[in-house]
Amino acid sequence: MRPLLASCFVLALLCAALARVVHADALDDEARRIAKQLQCPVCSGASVADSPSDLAGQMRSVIRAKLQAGEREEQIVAYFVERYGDGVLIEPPRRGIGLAVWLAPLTMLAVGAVLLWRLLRIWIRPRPAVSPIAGPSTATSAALHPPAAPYRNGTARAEGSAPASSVDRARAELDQFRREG
Amino acid sequence: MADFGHIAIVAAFVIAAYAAIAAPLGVRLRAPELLASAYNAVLGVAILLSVASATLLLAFLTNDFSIKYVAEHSSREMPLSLVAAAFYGGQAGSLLYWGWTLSLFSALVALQQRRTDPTLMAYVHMTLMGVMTFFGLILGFVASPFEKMPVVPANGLGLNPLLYDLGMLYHPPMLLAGYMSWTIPFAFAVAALATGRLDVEWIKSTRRYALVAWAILGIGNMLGGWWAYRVLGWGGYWGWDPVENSAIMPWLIGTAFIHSVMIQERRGMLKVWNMALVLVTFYLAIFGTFVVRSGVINSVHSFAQSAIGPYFLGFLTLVVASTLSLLFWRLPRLRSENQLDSLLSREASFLVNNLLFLGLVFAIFWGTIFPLVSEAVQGTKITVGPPFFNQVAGPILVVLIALMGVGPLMPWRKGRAESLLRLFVPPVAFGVLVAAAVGLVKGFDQPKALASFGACAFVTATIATELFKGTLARRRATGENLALALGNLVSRNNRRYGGYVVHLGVVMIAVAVTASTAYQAERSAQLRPGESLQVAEYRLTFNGLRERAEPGVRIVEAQLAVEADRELVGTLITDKRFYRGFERQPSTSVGIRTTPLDDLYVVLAGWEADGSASFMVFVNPLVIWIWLGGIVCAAGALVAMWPQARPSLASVGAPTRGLAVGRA
Repeated sequence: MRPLLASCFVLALLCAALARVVHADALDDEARRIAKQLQCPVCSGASVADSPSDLAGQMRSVIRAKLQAGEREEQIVAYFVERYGDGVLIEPPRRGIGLAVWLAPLTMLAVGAVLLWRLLRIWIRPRPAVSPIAGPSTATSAALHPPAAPYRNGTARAEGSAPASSVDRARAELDQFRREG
Repeated sequence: MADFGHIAIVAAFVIAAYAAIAAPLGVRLRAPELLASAYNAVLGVAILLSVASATLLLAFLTNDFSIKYVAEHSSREMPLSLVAAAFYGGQAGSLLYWGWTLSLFSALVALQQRRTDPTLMAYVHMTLMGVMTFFGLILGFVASPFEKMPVVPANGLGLNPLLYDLGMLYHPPMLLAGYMSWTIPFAFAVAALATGRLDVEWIKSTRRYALVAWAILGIGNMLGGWWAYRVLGWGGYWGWDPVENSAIMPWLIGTAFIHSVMIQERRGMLKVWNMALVLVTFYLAIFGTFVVRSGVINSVHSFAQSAIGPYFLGFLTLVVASTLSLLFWRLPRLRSENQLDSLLSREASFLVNNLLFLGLVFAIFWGTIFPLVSEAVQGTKITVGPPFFNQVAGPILVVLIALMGVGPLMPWRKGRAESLLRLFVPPVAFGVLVAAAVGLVKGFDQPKALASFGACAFVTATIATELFKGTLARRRATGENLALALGNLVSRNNRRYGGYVVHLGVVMIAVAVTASTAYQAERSAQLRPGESLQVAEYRLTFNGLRERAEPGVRIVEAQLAVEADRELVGTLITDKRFYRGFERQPSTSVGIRTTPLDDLYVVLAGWEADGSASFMVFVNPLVIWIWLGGIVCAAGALVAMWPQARPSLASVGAPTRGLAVGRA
């Protein structure tokens, strides 16, 4: 009986002591949805919903209180932005300096695409037909006709003469392909 | 013991610096003795750092708290199995691990490439030992793992509770080794630039090392996600945290490299481009190590913060400046020897692949450093959280996945539009069909997810067709039965089909990531004992809290009964652990019940004095397929890098029976 009592006592003590430390406030789903949009201001890389810090706990309580008072999601988010600045938003705002984070990748991708397109236009010049097998390289042609040989001396290899039987030819080509890895 | 380890590190530093100078000097002075001594020095550094690492390990095993690093990262209660986790749990130890594995890889490369051209290898050794010298400097004089305590404490502080997990034994060493192993392709690139031997040869010797590095870093990332999913307790596996971003960036550029390098192998094109990709991958690997270990960008991972920042920045600047000047110096020799023939070619599809990978990495890099940029420019730190990365990276990734189905069907040089059209219609139709089917079941309100599923189905169809056609063709040609034909097809063309296996693994991961992102169900609730909560098809009943103690830790655990479709399927336990010395930083054990269809993921968030507890519950569809896909990718990489047993590589250039039909 003694150990049981003792452990009950310890559990009660622990609960009393830790209720503050662990975020013991249950968030209903709406509060959690709002908390997930907010960055915990004192910790790094965690949202208010997931952070174990005291401040995040208080912010969750504020969100719940405001929800109970009938405030809407936008109002609550705006309240936190007013208090903590744009940095409290997990998704960077699409205005002011926040716009730069959204636009730069799109710009770079567009510039890259234009550059690549122009480069390809320069590289691709009409040249005399070179390719005896210009058809699609399906697995069939991969197994039977090896893809272009590893680059050698800058010149394309010319066509060779084919052996007599088609089975022989296929075997020989498989050997050849195998050699080339 | 501390002095012994310290001396080993300083000796390694001196010898590495010697090798980095002796190797190029040997080439300059035409002195083979110097080259031989540099070679020996590479092996010597490996031995010395092995000794240093063993010393630190021994210090942990014997609880030698006179060493500061040991006192700060372990305690008498720490289980033996976590000694390794403690070893690289802090800054100095993880840098020692980095340097140690680099010394081992350098020695391995030196041994393997004994017969390779000594001039090229001299510069490889110079580069490897140059990097080694930097780590020797850091380990010996800035962040020494053997720094002593002024007073020997009776017990250590203990390991950060976040690291009390089996995943810690695998995830950091893989990741750090992944960063480290990109030094090898980098060294070959520098050697090629320095010697001016920029032909296909350096690419040949680099390709396999690059593949190994790519695989190690990829596995490291995967294990990191697995660890985060099980330990961090927020319901996901990837949070676009700066540390995660820095780990994925070199991997993505490395992926671009192992694709575009094929163009150089086959066509002698893109030499500057490939060189630049290898260099950038290495820069990003160093940047990643630096971000993980300096805490420059605030992040949950940066436990360790110290004075190594300026050193890393200086080193990175030096490396970037010197290698870029080398590259510009050699630009005239890196001229392409061929031209592109058509937009409808494998070359062109690889170039689009490269563009997308680069755009993706730029977006991730920009988003990662943007908080610092905005702080510097405007004084306010803008947060760039997961929504940004999901919205920007998501679409790029979907296009990249679709490209996995396009590239392999494209012929080298030039394809014909009509035949390509015929080839692509069935798999595209299959993709559209699958997307529509998923839409009918799940609704059309998540078009991005449907696009991703469609792309995955399309790729799967192309790979299956390729395998099927190849097997049939081989059976026709050789008369083998189907199974044997398939096996031989793969083993004889292991690079091609290994690549397909990797692509299949990526498709598995993509499907699972899409499903678990788009169709995750989430509830949070406070329950009194006996109360229930319904989440998706699961009904959870809270059975009550229990408190127990293990050496060095108090555990409060909650037990929940799980019903699926009104049938009891088991119980889940989730707990909070309060480690001695870290009472204000409790760690969470997530209760996870995995099935092939979904993971039920329950987190104990907190409790009240009346015995009620609050929970966060997630139902994450298909998550197990992420980890299985990772295994498939690793297996595919292994197939692709498996050396061909035949000694016939040497005969590639030799004329063979006048046979070149089909080789354009």
